[in-house]
Amino acid sequence: MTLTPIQDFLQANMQYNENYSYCRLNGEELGTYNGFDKIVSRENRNDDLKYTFKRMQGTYYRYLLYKESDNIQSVMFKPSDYKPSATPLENTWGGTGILTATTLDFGQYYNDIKIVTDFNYKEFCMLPVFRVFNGTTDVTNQVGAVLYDVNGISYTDYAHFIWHREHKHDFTSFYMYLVMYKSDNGNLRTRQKYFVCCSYAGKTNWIDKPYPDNNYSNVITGLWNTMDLWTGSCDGSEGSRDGRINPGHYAYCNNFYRDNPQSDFESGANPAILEVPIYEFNCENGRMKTDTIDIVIKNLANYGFMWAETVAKAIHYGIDDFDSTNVHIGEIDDNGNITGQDFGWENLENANNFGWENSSDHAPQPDPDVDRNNYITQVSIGGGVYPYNKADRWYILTEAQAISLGDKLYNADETTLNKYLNGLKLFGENPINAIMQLTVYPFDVKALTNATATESIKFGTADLGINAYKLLPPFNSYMSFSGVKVPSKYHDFWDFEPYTNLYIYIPYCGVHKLSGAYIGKEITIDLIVEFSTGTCCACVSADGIIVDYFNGKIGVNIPVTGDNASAFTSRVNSSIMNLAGSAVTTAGGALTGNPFAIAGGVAGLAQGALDISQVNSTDFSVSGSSSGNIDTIKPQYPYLIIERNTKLVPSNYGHSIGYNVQKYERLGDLDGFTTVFNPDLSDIADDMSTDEIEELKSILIGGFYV
Amino acid sequence: MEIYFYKTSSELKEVNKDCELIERKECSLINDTDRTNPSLTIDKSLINSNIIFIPSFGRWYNLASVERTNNNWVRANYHVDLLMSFKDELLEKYFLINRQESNLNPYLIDNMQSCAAEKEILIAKFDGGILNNSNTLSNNYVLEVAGA
Repeated sequence: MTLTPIQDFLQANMQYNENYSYCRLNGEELGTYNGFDKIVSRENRNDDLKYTFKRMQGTYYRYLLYKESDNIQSVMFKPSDYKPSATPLENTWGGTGILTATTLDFGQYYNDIKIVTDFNYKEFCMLPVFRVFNGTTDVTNQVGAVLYDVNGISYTDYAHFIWHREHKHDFTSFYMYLVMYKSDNGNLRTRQKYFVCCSYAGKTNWIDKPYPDNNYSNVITGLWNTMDLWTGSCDGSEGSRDGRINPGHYAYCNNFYRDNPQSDFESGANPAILEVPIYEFNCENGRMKTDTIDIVIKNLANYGFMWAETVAKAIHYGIDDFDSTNVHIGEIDDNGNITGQDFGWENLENANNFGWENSSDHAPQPDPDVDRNNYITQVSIGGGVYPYNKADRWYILTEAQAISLGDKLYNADETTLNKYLNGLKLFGENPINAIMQLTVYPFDVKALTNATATESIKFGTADLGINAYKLLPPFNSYMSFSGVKVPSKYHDFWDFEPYTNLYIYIPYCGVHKLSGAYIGKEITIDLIVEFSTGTCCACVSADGIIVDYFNGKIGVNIPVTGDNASAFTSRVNSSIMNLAGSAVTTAGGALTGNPFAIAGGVAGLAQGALDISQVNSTDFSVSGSSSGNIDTIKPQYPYLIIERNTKLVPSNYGHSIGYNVQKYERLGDLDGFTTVFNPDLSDIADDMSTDEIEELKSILIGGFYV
Repeated sequence: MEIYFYKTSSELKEVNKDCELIERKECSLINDTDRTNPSLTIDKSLINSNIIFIPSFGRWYNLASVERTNNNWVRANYHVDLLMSFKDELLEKYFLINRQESNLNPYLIDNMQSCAAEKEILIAKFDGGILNNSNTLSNNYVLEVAGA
């Protein structure tokens, strides 16, 4: 075991203080360390002081120190990776096993103490402990503190605790102790798994869905910050009731270095390993804020901590009996919210599949982000409210009906008299104005819309005598295309972009490039047609999930030409009115508004008195214009175009060049041709010359065979 | 010094070479050689040995060249085989592997692989739909008329 020279370390870290000595294990040894706490003693230490240095458990702790002297007054250091004790740790282990920093200690010396930033959580369990005080307790100094259970109320039932909280009984504050229980190399595995479960209660293990953060250091830091934010006390005094910040109550020390944690742990004595942040929660009018504890519990649950209500139970019950109801674990739902329930250990039997084998396993690497997305396996089209012109009537016509419509509008086969009469039915209006649009589609609209009801087409009150299917809302429907799956040819990266490209042709929507999301997937197309505008949208799905939408135009607008009945009727009426002294019946009919009476009169008058040029002239008007659609000539089915590069990789490629790997591997686990990145040979180059080191590096980088 | 003469057919850059011991002899290094590039005067019968181990250096050496000195003796020039010499340490050590023959992730893009300029084009037709089918081209007009 190599020790970095004390002085070098101190200078490097600018933390030199003659009252303290530091040492650390060199980086390599730390990296391979996987046993119990080890003591590294400085043999030639100052006789006046005794220092013992021990590495904290887990591969992420770099160093830890404490001093055995109880003189701490002149010490000033700002470590970031560890927290020294305020008082000699050994002196306290005979007691509760939890160290308590006094206000003085903390405020003066440990302003920058942080929670351990890296935490190998295979090694420890955490157990925050609630400690509740009544209104007469001097919380600040923890003098005369009365544990709630000592005060006569049992904590064995957590619901009881909650009940008191909800009824705002005399909780003036409570402390939370965060207790880390150390595990050994496997004997405490059953306890370890509970910890895992508690970060994702009710689930099999947290590897599937770690919560809530990507790095446990963030968890710890987050909790610490939360504590920092909330720190305050309420000891019943006037000034404390507003939840003021009390800098005297922070926490403090690691006790990861009990000489025989395993023994202590198993014997039911004090917890072998303790991490003890201490925290007070805000109070209001002498009573704990009801929402505060909710926040606390939520954080506990979210951070995956177990908790107990008292120190004693945390230590003496919880640690020895994980079936005990004294230890709680927050239940978290799938969305990461606490449910308000807590699990007993009996509910966690499904955690057995978590397979810790030894403490040297790599620390788990949770996902980088909490994934709260609601993932689905199918995406359905439709479902929205469809806007359309409810003031209009919609008909589905056959081609023959469309021709008939044109004839009627043009009055092609009508007599002059009937033209006049038809015009009158429309109250002199031009019938072409009643047509909002006539659109032709390249498919059977009735079949696609399942239209069944029929109705005679009417322009206002004028019945055209064409019986057509009524198109009822919603005025859209879709047809589906399927039967194409994108095969994987090479079963490697050549099957993906940019080496394999996919294009899709969709009638009326054109050709589009598809992403690699479709590789190996079943492609389906739902072509939605929207009848009020003639537009369409192709929804392209990969295994049922719509990935792309492509818009197009499928309906072809048809211009409609008709006889302008309004102008015709108007001219005829003018001629009629110009016939002075015409038949009384005619005038009478006109006055009474009876068109048939007028018609009768006109029938006689038209034979001689009307201006024949007025009657025989014709006016045309047009509704709409042709939108044209060359797409009707293009293929009427979709097709997929797969464009692949032709891979040319010789069979000895791996042996001669090697495949791209980018892995961190033990060389002995490999076979065949190998190249490495920037090899570090410092630990095997003791008797190698510089030239040899460079040559070996060159070989390793250039390629060799294992 | 004692020298082990081996014969190997393994790749020169193989870490753990398969070696067959031919002979173990006491030899002396030629004066102007060094630990990295030692030279020996050996019986020509030993030139079929292409790799040696020198215990006092703790290193393996590959035969680099041979120079004939007389009918019975040759000067054999060697170069240190660092892979073989430190194979135990190397095989236990972890490295960031760049390229590898067998431990590969096929979906990791490898820009050293090549392809032909010509491309394969495949066209797959979809089934379904009722577009422009002569059997379905009826009732294909939609008329919108003012007034509900």
